[in-house]
Amino acid sequence: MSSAARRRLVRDFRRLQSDPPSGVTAAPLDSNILVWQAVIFGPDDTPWEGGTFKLELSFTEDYPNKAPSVRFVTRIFHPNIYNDGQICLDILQNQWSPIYDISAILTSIQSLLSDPNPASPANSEASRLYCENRREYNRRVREVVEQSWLDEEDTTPAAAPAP
Amino acid sequence: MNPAGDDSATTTTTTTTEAADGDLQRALEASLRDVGTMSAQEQDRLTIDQLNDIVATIAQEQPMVGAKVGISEALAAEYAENPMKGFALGIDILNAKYSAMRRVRKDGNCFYRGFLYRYLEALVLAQQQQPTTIPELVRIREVVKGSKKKLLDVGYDESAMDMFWEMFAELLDQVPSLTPDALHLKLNDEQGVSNHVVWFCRALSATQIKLNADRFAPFIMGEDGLADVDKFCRTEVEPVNHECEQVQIIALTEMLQVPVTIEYLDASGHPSSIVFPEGAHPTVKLLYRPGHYDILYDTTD
Repeated sequence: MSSAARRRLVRDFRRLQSDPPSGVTAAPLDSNILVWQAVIFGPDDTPWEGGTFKLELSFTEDYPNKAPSVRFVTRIFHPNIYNDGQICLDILQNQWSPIYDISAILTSIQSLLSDPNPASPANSEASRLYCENRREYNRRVREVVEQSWLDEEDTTPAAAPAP
Repeated sequence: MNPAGDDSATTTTTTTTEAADGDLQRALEASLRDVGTMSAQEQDRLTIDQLNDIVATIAQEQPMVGAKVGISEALAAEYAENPMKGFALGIDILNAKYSAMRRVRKDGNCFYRGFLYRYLEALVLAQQQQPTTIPELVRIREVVKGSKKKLLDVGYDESAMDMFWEMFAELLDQVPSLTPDALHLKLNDEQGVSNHVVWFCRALSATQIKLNADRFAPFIMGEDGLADVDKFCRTEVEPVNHECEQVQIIALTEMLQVPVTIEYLDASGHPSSIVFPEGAHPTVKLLYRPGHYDILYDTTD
C-alpha cells in the first residue's frame, strides 16, 4: 500500500478525533486501515431522527485520488440509495475530489438522508413516494429507523450466537 | 462541500460522461447505444460502472505520458481514413513546425498532466547543463512555497491539502538530481506522486480563480446567468478526471507564471496557435484536438 494513502487515512482519523462532526462516527478496522466502519445518526427534526445507520467504506491505494466505495450496511429506504446499500451521490462518483475527507463524505451522506434528490433515483419506489405521498414515505422511513435499532442489537457481541 | 439536492447539478449521475475525455465519452456513448430498453435507474448505474471500467482499461492500455514520437508518424495513421482532408493538411503544417510529440493519457487530466510533464522536463534539462541552481527552479519553488498560504486563504482545508503541496514541493526539490528518463519514470508511476502533483495543478488553478473571482466570473456564467465561482471550482476544476477549459488554463498559467502555447488541430486545414498569456514565449507547447491534449516539441527542442 502506498504510504500516501496511509498517511492521508491517518490524517482523516486525526481530524475526526480533533474536530468530530456532529452525528457521525467512523473508525478503521483493527486489521485493515483500508476498511472503515461508520455510523450516521439520523438528523434531528426529520423522519430519520433517532436512526443509527451503519456504513462500510472501502479505500484503495489510490485514495485520495480516487473516491472510496461507500455503502450502507443497515437497510435504508431512500430515493438515492440502492437496495444493496450503494449510494448515488455526486461526490462519490463523477464529482469526486481529494478535498473530501472521511468527515466530509459522511457529513454529505447525512445531509443526503434528509435532503434527497428525487430527480436522480436509485430507489424508484422511494422516489415516487417522496414526491407523491410524503406521509407514506415518512412512515417507511420510520420503519427503517426502528429496524436500525434491531440491527444494532443483532450485532452486539452478547447477541451473537456461540461458535 | 455540496450535499445532494440543493440544485440539479449535484447528486445526479447522468452527467457522468462529462468526467471523461472526449474520446472516453464517445466510447462510453457507443457502449450505451443498446440500453434503450433499460430503466433510467439501470442505465444510470450502468453508466457509472462502465465509466469506471473504461477509465481502468485506459489506465492499463495507455501510459500516463508516452514516449517521444514523430508528428506525422503518430498522427498520419490516425487520420488516414478521415474523410475530412483538413486534418492531413494540418498534420503536414504541424510536422514542419514541430519535431515530435508525446501522447498523454486520455483520462480527463490530459491538459494538467501534459503541461506539468513538459514544464518539469524542460526544467530538468536546463538544470542538467548548469552547476548551480537555475533561476527558474528558484522562482518556481518560491511560487509553490507561497501557494500554501493562498490555498488556505481561499478556504481549502490544511489537512486535506498538505500532502499534495508537500509532494509538489518535494518533486521540485528533486529536480537537480533527476535525469529526463528518471522524471519520465516518476511521472508514469501509477503508485507514485504523479496523480498527486497533477491534482495539485487543479487546486492551484481553482485557487487562482477564487482569488480573482471578479475577473474570472464573466467567463464562468451559469445557466441562470449568474457566475458562481465556488461552484465552478467544485464541479469543473477540483474533481479528478474533469476536462479543462480555457478558464482553468489561464488560471494555472497565471498562478505558476508559466506560459503555454496551444496548437489547435481541426478539419480546417489551418492549425491555429494560441499563447497564454498573449505575447509570451512558452517552452511548454501542447497539441489540442477536440477533447484532448498531447505534448509537442519544437524542431529546436
